[in-house]
This record gives sequence, C-alpha cells and structure tokens, in this order.
Amino acid sequence: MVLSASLVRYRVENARFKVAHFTDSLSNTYSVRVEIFFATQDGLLAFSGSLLGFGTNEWYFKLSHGLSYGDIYILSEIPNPNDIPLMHNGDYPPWDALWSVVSCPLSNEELCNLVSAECSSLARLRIYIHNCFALLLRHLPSRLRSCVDAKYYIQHTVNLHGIMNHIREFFYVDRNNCAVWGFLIPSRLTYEFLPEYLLADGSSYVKPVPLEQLLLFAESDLGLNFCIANKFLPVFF
Amino acid sequence: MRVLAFPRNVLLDPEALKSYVIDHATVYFSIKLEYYDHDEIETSTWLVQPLLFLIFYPPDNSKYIYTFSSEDGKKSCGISLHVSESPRSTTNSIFLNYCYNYCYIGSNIYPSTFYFRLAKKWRKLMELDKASPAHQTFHVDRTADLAISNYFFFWGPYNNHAVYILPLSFSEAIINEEPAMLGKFTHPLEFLEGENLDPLSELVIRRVYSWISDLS
Repeated sequence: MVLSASLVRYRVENARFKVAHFTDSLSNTYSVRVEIFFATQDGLLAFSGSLLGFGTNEWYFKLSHGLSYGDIYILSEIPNPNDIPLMHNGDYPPWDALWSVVSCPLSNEELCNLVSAECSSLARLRIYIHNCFALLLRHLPSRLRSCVDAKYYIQHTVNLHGIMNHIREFFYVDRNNCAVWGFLIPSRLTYEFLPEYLLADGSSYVKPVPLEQLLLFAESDLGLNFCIANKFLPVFF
Repeated sequence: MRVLAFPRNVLLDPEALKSYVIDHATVYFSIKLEYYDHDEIETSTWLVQPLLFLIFYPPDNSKYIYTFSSEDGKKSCGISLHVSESPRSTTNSIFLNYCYNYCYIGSNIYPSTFYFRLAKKWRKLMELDKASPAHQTFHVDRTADLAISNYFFFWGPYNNHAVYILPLSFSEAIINEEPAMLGKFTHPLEFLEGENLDPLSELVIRRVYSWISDLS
C-alpha cells in the first residue's frame, strides 16, 4: 500500500477533529479538500476536463484537490510550494498525485506520525492548505500554457503574502464526507494568474460562464452554490 | 401571505441594487420594499425571497445545535422564516433590521423593520422570553443581532430563496417546556450522519458548520 496516495482523514471524537490512523475504518471519517474558484466580472471560469485531466465531466467550475499523505510530506520537506518541481520525466503529475514528483523515503508509520503531528492543529493545517493552494495555482497556468503555446511567459511563483488578503475563504462539509476549504479568487487576480490573451488562445480549455448558467448547477454542486452566494449576493454592514 | 422578494438582478448586481435603493427611497432615508403573494412567486425565477433560518445553540457551548423532529417527521435543526409585510400586531412576530449603512451607495439608510410572522407550530418555541412576557415576541438583546449581514446560499428548485442563517443562544431547559418541540443539542456532524433529514436543515449545517473550529 502506498500511503502517499491516501487522503488524510479525520474523525470526530468528543466534538474535536482528530486525525484518523490510516488503518482505521473509513466510516464516519472526513477527508479535507481544497477547492479553488476563479471569478470573472459576471461569473466564474470553467476548465475543460481535458485540461485538468480528472474526472469524467466535460467542464469543471473549480480546481479541486484532496489533501493526501504525500502532499503533507512534500509540503513539509519543501515548505515553499514554488520550489517543488513541476515536471517529472517531462510530464505533469496527475492532479491527485502532485506529491509523486518527489519520492518519499518514509515508512507508512513514519508518514502517519508526520501527518498526525502536522495536521492536528488548525494553525499547522492552515499552512499546509495555503501551500497546497499555491501549488495548485502554480500548476494551472503552466498546464494551460503547455496546451496552447509555449511562447507565453507565465509567472511560475505565487506570492501568498501578497494575495491572501484579497481571496475569500469559506468552509463547508460536502455530501461525500469531505471537509472543504474553499477559495474564491477575485476577477482581478484571476486575470493575473490567467492573462486574458492566454484565456483567448486557450478557449477550448477555459471559458467564462455567466451567473445565469452557473445557477443551473448550483443545486447539485454545494461548493458552487456557496461560492456564488459568496461572490454575488450583497453584503451589508 | 405576502412576502418580501427582490428581482434577481437586484440581489446579484451591485449597480442594480444601487438603482433599486435609489428608486425606492423615501423622504426619511428609508426604503419602501415590495411584497408579493407567496404562492404566486414561489415558482418565479426572477424574484428571490430572503429566507431567515434560525438555529439554536446552548449558551455555554456553541459547538452544538438544537435538533428536533418537525411536524412532517423529518429531523430539523431550526426554523425558516419568510419576511412578511407589516404585522397586524407584534405578537408572534420577530423583527429584523435588514440593513443600515448601505455599503453600495455609501450613505446611511435608516433601519427598515421587517416582520416574520410565525406559524402556529413555532409560536410556543418563540414565546419564551420570560423577561418580557407582555410582548410575547421573540427577543434578542440587541436588534443588531438580527441584522442580515450576508446571505449564505440559494435554496429551492428555482434558486429563488436567498438564505440567511442566524445562530442564537438558547436554553435547552426552556425549549423542553414545550413537549412538541422536545429535542436535544447535537453535534452538527452527528446530525448529518442521521437519516430522514429536512433538506434545508441539512444544507444549513453543511454550510454553517465551521469544521476548522473543531481542530485543536
């Protein structure tokens, strides 16, 4: 069993979230997932299944990634996600195996101990989640660039300190027992990560979807529903 | 029953909201809102109804929520209320300051008072403020506690309800004076692991439960 590929799971004990041991039963446990939405002026960006390479849908409204043991390992070894190599043998790793670009020398028990120690507190988990968020952000434009044309210069580093104050975060528990940490990137930053000329050339892979169409999917996709409310419904002071 | 509703674009577009406020402004710097027959607009796709969802937690532990069986037998964790037109009396109603300091137009709008008329099944639960029996209205310490600050999600097959979740501290002992409302305080995830859940309650818990607060 390759523990690196397993999702980090939590169980609730005495009203606290505790990291479950990898040998525990999966019933009533919760994995942690990062979801990233990219806002446009009047909607969100959708990404093609061929670009993201996960799932069977034609289009996706979010970048979604379950936090695995392997993610925790590479993010603990290489705290700055900008230093993690993007490519392995010339290929991009699958989205659910970003950790596979670095080999993990730890035994399963050692890796489990690492995750238990690092993911038990909110303060530590927040660091890993934010670094994972940065790693995903770093992958996306690179993959899009590789799909359309290599001539574009893409900024490969993500400075979290400069942008986190502008990104809305929200939390929920989905119907698949995932505790979700959601990020909504405002339209101004969306176009910094994915410049409009790149979006224009990559229109087969990325497209803006207006709110009216997003609402059609809001009932079946909780994250989308909560994200839409976060972005579009008014805030009163 | 006539309920408050907004054209969808008013709630979703800051410019449209600004125009709506200007068009509906009164001389007293308040806004005159529009109410519609609930049955007529329930399937409307262009009118969105604000919906208040009250959930209750014990005074000493906000991690738990009060859960009970509703009249249809489903497990529920709160009460949903439409905003109704001015009440005939204040009895069995609660009021809400919708907003003040209207951020989109940068000027103060005096509080508009909205009334939530309670269905009979909820009255006993809400008439529990022993400190002010003469009013027999639902009571909170500060009216600001009932101010909608932001909506949490859309609800309904037409996405025509904008739900605002309001958590309130409540005493289990007081609630249990009404046998029909007998329930218990439950951890949100324990509630979600149950069966036969009221769909709106389930969505509220999924959205409002802050799992990160249960980490150390």
